[in-house]
Amino acid sequence: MSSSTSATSSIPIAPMWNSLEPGSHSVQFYRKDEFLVDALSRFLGSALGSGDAAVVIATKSHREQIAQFMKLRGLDIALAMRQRRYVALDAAETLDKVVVAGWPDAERFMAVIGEIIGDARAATKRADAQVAAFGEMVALLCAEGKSDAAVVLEHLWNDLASLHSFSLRCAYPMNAFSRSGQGDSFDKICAAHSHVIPSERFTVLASEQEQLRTISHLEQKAEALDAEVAERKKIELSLMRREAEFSDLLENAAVGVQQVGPDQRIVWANRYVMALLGYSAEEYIRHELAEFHARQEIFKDFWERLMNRENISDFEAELRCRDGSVKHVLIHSNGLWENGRFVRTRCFLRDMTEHRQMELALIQSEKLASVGRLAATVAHEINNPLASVMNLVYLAQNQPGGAGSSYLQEAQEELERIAHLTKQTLGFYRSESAIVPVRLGSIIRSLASMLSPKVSNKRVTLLVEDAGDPEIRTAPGEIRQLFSNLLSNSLDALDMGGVIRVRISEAREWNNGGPPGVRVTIADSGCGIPAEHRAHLFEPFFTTKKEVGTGLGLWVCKRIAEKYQGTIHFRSSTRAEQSGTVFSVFLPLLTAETAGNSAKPLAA
Amino acid sequence: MSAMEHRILIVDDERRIADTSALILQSAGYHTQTAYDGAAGLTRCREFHPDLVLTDVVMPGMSGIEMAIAIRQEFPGCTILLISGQAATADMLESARREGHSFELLAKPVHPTTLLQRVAQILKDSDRVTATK
Repeated sequence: MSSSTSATSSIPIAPMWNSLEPGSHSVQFYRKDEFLVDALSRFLGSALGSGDAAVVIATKSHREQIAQFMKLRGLDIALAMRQRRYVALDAAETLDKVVVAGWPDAERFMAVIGEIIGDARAATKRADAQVAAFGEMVALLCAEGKSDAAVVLEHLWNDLASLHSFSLRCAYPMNAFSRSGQGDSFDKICAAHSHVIPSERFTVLASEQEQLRTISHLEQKAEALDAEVAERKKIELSLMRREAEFSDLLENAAVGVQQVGPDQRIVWANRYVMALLGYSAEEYIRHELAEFHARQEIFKDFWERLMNRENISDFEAELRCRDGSVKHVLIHSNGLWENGRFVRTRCFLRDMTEHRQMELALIQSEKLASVGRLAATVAHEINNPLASVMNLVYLAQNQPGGAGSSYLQEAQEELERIAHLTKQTLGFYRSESAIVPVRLGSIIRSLASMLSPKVSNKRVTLLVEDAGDPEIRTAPGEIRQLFSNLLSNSLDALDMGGVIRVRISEAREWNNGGPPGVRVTIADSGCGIPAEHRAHLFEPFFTTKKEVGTGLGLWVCKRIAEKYQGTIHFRSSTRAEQSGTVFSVFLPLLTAETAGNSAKPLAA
Repeated sequence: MSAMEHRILIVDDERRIADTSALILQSAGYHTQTAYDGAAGLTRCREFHPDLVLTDVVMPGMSGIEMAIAIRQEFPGCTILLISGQAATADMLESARREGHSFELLAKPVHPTTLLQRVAQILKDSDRVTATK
């Protein structure tokens, strides 16, 4: 306590703040403990020194310091305590005795404190003796934020003072009122006292001039603070308004806006998202995002990319609505990362469902248009032979001699041309037969025997080789048409004495990653396909055989292969001595389900 | 001018149509010649000087309409009758009409009886026009 010695001398106190008349209830504000202790030691010490009584209800530290200070002033504190003129009590313990359910109880207060004051006065053995009391219970309540309870307690002290005459001093640290909103409590506390003693900042000022200057300075400061508080309130209000505006903007945006946390749960979503999907906030917010993705593999990909810090744009996803329907959305999203940790997504969605439906409708109408174009072309192709037939039949009918039969023969040929054409096109669109297990080898061998008259006429060698011929599920009629067209083409490409090699093998689609299936290659040693024709080979009505062909054969082959998820390719050479063409058809081994799904009519 | 003196050129890349149409017209007493594409039709026209040209429209190389425009410029007295079975012909005719060339079109297939009636009518009309000149 050596430092306290110097403190007493370094903080003088102006006399006017120390000499208070008996019966007063003063409040002492302070900044530093040593100032408070010094002031109290003077207040209490002067009472004890003049034979009066003193009561201290304070913290342990304050009690010890006050006693120390009074001893330093030459007072025999031990004696005063023995005489019970000096009573020092713990503030918290005493407060417990007078508080019921957090609130000062008047009856208990009067009983407990009244007795303490009465006893101290009695100990002086003088009827006119004064009691100087210092209480800190109010400061304890204030420190707990119960300033209303503190004010009640102050009034109880006042009530008690009207019964027992004593001088009471309370003390509050200034920092208990450092927030601008505490002005009211401060005023109420001051109002509960007969005297207010400012903190050391003011009370140490000796001259009136100094005090006036300080008051002016404080007034200016208060003015400035008030203005600043008002300014800040204005800023705060405008910030709040801005925030409200922004959240209103996001809430009402014509795109979906949502945030998803690191646990993949939805943190926030705007009205657009809820309206789009039909969920209430409780059904959507804090739920896992994956719950709403109709396709989990897409969600997984989306999340992986987010976690790779990708800036995702135009990401197509399908979200499930409350009613079970699916919305197609386009997502823009990226993550907010802080110190290397993912905080949440910024996610923007656009509803593409209608757009997609329009797209599908467009594709559908394009399909219909292409069917229409095809029909027009077919009509034209039929019209020419019909024109010939009409002319020929007319000529036959009007022929006077027996030459008519040759015209009728030609008419017959033209009719066959029409029949062939309709079979190729219209027959193709009529998805005929059921899907059954089929071995390509047996189909090709039966075709080979059907073609054998033509094969032997042209002295062609037709070799069919089986290197594995698993069953595939397909429609045998169409497969027969496919290979019939390819074999006929090969035969047409050959002059006398050529070779056709057909090979059937188990295979996978081109690279090994594809599905298992069967590959059939049909190689001929014919003249080959000129380079300028190759790009047009699979187009409808492309033909190099104007007299005999319809130009539909290979087009039909390709459509049939694709219908069964297969492919058709060719290689050809027109180089002398090495000329020839190889067609390669791959058909996958379809399961019953995939066959069922894929074998839809092509025109649909 | 009697039917026997009328010359008709038939142009069609479908040879069988061209040939049989020629036979039918011959049997009705007309002089006929045939060509199987537009360019050949124009050449034949210069040698044959037909009164009437029957032509297909969609042919490889020079189309029937291109040929008809060329013939009309060279031989203003020659009548041209287009015969087509293709829907696209309508567009070609329309664009030719916008450029000031209009032609009569018969839809393929034309029944021979109809063809003969129409040919007779056209030649009769053109004779009258020639006679009044």
